Amino acid sequence: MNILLEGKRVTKNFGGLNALRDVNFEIRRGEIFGLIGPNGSGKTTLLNIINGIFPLTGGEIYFEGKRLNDLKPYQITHLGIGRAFQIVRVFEGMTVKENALVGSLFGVKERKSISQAIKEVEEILDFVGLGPKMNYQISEITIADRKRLELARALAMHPKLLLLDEVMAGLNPKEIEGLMEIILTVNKKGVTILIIEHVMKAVMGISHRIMVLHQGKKIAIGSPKEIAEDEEVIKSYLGERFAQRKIQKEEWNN
Amino acid sequence: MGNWRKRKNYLFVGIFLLFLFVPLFLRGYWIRLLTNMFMFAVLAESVNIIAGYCGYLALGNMFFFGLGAYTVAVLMTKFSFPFYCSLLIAGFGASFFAMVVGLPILRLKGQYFLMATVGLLELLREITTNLSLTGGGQGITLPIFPGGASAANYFFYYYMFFLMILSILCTFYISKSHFGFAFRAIKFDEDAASVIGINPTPYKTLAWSISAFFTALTGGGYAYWMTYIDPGEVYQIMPSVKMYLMMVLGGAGTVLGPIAGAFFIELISELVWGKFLELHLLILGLVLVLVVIFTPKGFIDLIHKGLSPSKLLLGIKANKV
Amino acid sequence: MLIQVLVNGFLQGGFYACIGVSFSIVFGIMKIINLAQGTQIILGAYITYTICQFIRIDPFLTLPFATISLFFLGYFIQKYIINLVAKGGLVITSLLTFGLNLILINIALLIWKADFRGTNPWYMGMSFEIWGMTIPYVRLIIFIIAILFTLSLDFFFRKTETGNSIQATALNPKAAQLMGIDIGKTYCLTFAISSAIGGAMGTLFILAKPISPFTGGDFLIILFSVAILGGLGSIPGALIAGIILGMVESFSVMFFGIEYQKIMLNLVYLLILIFLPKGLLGKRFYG
Repeated sequence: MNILLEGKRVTKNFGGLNALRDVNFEIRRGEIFGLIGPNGSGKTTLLNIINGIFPLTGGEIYFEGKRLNDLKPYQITHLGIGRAFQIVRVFEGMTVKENALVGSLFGVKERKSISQAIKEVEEILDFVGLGPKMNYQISEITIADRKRLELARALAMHPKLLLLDEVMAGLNPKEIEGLMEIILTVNKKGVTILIIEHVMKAVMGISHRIMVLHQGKKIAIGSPKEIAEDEEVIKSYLGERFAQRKIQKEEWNN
Repeated sequence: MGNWRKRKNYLFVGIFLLFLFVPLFLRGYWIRLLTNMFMFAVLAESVNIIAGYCGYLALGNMFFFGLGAYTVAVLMTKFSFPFYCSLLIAGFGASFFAMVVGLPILRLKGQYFLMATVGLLELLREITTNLSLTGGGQGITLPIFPGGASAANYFFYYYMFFLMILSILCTFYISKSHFGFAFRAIKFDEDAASVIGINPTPYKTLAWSISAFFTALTGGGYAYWMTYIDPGEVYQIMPSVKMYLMMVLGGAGTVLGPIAGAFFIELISELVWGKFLELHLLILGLVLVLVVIFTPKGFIDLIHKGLSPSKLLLGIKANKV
Repeated sequence: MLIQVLVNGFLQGGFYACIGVSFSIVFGIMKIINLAQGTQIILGAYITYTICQFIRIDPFLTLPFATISLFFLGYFIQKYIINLVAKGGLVITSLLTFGLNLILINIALLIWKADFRGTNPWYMGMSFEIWGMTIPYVRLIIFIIAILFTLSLDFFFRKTETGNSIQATALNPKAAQLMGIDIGKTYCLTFAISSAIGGAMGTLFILAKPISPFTGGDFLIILFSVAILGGLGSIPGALIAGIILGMVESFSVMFFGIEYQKIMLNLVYLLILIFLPKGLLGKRFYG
């Protein structure tokens, strides 16, 4: 089973708005799959559809061969998909540890005792660097910490596929480096990762393959290098004028 | 910290024993007062389960009280069921009702759910007023408790007391179990909770059913204790709001908060307001307003953070516009 | 016969629409359930009653007084009380408005006692005949004034700058703040308007029926129903919803008898909540 997640002709409309149009993709087991594109291109929508938050308008999604189309979010989660949200959705009234505990207790189908969950969670929190702040209230930690908590909570769900939605936004370079390390380590442990990112250095740096969305359509898919040199990508991401200037520059150089 | 824990435990055992034996030394008036306190404590604790923990603000939760009261009343008078049997039916019946009604109603969000429960309260009152089975507007008179009024006083004192203990134990269990986590996750962010793997529906329904169970048992006991009930009395919004006040005052989402809140409010209610009858709505209203402005997170929270005027004022800043 | 029922309901519906609107704007803009709204309406009625006790004038002429008094009362309440907890969430704000309700009821009890009070305008029982129907003058005038208020409010929100800024605050409080809109003042104004309209409607109400300090509670289900059925914060929606509700009530009284009136209203209300939570128009107008 090399292909973990497969999307066929994925289409999503919100009333008159076409958020996603006929997107085909496959994510291989064990890879880090980057998803980039300008704002509004449908990236988060795609994640929401994978998670079951929105229903598909058309097309299908398969996870390990299982059709996800009509499943509820908690069922999809139990199949092995974890998610860290773009706008962090930690539980405000709980402590850091309790947040992660929720992920650990409910993220998998099998029941476990609370003491067992606590052990797991303490390890994971240490791993992401939140060890010392385990008993802090959410109101007492920084945004960067909250993002780490989102990640920890998702990890506590023992996902086979981890969906990361702009987890690097708002972090300073050092924090970005740190997070990249963590993601790479997680991947090495066997977790497949789908990462949406605007921080180019990060996503280009760690992804095995990248898919580019623009206005709901897939315009490119390939290795980071291939993507960086793809004309369509440059045009859509950086604008027509930049592409023009690049072409002019090349002509001038020749 | 260990010492404090031990001392807390001794304190609880002491209070428990105190309440257990104190009726031997008190007159009827005080026994009834304490019984009322315990009764409201159960009600506040029940509301705490669905609203404090799960975040579903069933402002009209009192209708389970009425359901319980009427179930016991009708079963005992029209069908000659014994008391305990009627109670059990009332309790489980109410839970069942919560499950059935919960199907459409628990799907509603925040304000809508709140307003729906108020609507249910009104609806049930109106139906009861018009039904001959329930005696209509005249109400129902139940059989007198064997042994007369003073035996009844003692009996219901212990009834409400043990019901209160039961509700506390139940809430305590919830708070320590994974149910508690699920409830709270649903309260803080239900959609995120479902993505984390929690299926909200069975959990919410369970919370409401438990709440219904205790509330109905309270109503059932009340009916037999008072020997007479009518729709206007048991399907009233005022006690429902009082339950919330007690829960908020003591601390929603804590195990003992609502109990403390209930004791405090009910005590004041009886002692002070009995003397100022024509002002009692005003005072209740004022207390509500002040509590909600100054101690939105409740007493227990305030005690944890340390009581001081500056803390109180700081508390307002959070909710001020 | 049927047409009479329809028309009765229609006229009553105008009143329901207007009070529903007053409740709905607070609900839609500040997300607050004002459980005191019913009593505020009754206070307007009491003001009318009191003035008429001292001066022999037509109750209608007290309308401006009731409206303006309730405006200031509402502004005061919002500024010094409700604004302190406006961000606190549902329980907090609901408990607060409930507490306010109790305070207002008690004040009414102290001043006017628990007996029912009414006005008896000279045109009380008079009606005119048209197309085989009997239409009481009072009902017709109440309807007209209620509709006028409703339409003016709609105009206010859509066409004036103040109205627009209030709408903006409802849609996105943070963005509105960044644009320089003072949220506190906005809320005060909104609540004051809601209160003022309530007061006006109170004046109209006491023309037709007597009141007691507790009458406000009877309005609650209607306020909820109209607000939800019409779509939160939507004035045209509330207008339609109010009229529909009036007609439903009228029909159910005819078919089921007056004892079932309250049951029907409650049932309809619950059905609305379950099946049409977004209102008739299917979308939320504000926010």
